[in-house]
Amino acid sequence: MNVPLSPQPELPALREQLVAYLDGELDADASQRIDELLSTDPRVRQELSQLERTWDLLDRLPRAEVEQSFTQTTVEMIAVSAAVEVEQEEAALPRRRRRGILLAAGGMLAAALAGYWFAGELLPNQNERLLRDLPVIEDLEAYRQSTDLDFLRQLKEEGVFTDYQPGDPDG
Amino acid sequence: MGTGLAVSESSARAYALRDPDVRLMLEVRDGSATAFEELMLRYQTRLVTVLEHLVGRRGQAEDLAQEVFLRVYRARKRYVPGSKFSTWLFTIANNVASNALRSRSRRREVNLDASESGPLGANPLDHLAQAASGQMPTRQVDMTELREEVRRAIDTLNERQRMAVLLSKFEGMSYADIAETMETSPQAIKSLLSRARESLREVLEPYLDRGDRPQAT
Repeated sequence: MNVPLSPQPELPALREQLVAYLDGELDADASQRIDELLSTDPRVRQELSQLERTWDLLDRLPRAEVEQSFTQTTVEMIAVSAAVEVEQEEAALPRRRRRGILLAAGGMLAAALAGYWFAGELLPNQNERLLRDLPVIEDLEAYRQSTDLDFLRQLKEEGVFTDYQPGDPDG
Repeated sequence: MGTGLAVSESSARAYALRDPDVRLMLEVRDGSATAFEELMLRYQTRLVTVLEHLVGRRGQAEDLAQEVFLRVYRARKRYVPGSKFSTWLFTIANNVASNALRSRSRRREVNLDASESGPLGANPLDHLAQAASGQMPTRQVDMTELREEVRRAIDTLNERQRMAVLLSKFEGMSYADIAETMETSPQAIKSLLSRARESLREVLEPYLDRGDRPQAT
């Protein structure tokens, strides 16, 4: 016979706790509080018993028995899906290849530009050096013939070397 | 979830260590057809059982189960273990079943045909009312009949309550796992299951007490 619980505002909360208690979802403290309630209140005991009894009835629900044909059909579906996947991947291959070639060409161009910049900015310019040393180069034969260092110093002090300007026909 | 990118490597490794089905799924990701077949064999009965009780029709349940396996297969390359394998699988099942039930509901709105209802009729309580015409004698509950009553009681639950009940009863899932499967909080599942079980009790308890079918209101 049912003993209805008197209407209490906390009834839904109590029921939640009872269900969680049955499901083993309460922590130790909450479980102990329910244990105490059960030992003192017959209505709570009955509530719990009814919840448990009707829940146990669900064990009578039949479990499906899957036939071999189901497994076979599913495997076939998966195989078809896999074949479609492979076809799509193969169809996408030339496009991917073209994209790869373009990317490689772009990379090579970028590397060439970077190399050109590096050479121009960081390596010494040989032409500038030649231009700077041009006065000496032009008179190199004369310098070689002179073994007197003091004489050369004297020529330098007289401005023979420094007065020279590139392109000066009298230099 | 299973194909999420936000799962840390350590977390993924932990799931792979704990759950053999996760390890199988990782083999599937790496191209093993045998591993996929093994997973199918392990889960097909469980999946069809839950789906059948969820949608109420065996044929549709099998179609949906196949759809679930197909989605698992298609997602294999992006699979990262972020939960137990069963949680991931039933999350997909929940989404697939929800979509199917929504489509069915829309079709029913367009075509109000009694034949569109499940084998139990559009409203299981109507069926109960017919059976409980007051002329049935009090008697010992017959097993088959009891099973029918339980099924009808399940059918009185809304879709989310039913899913939570089935995952709890058939899959033995914790509130946390059900919450993850149904993309909600464990507290919400606690309330959902409490209301569901109260509804089941309202339908089934009078039947058990009297050995009779409950009176429909």
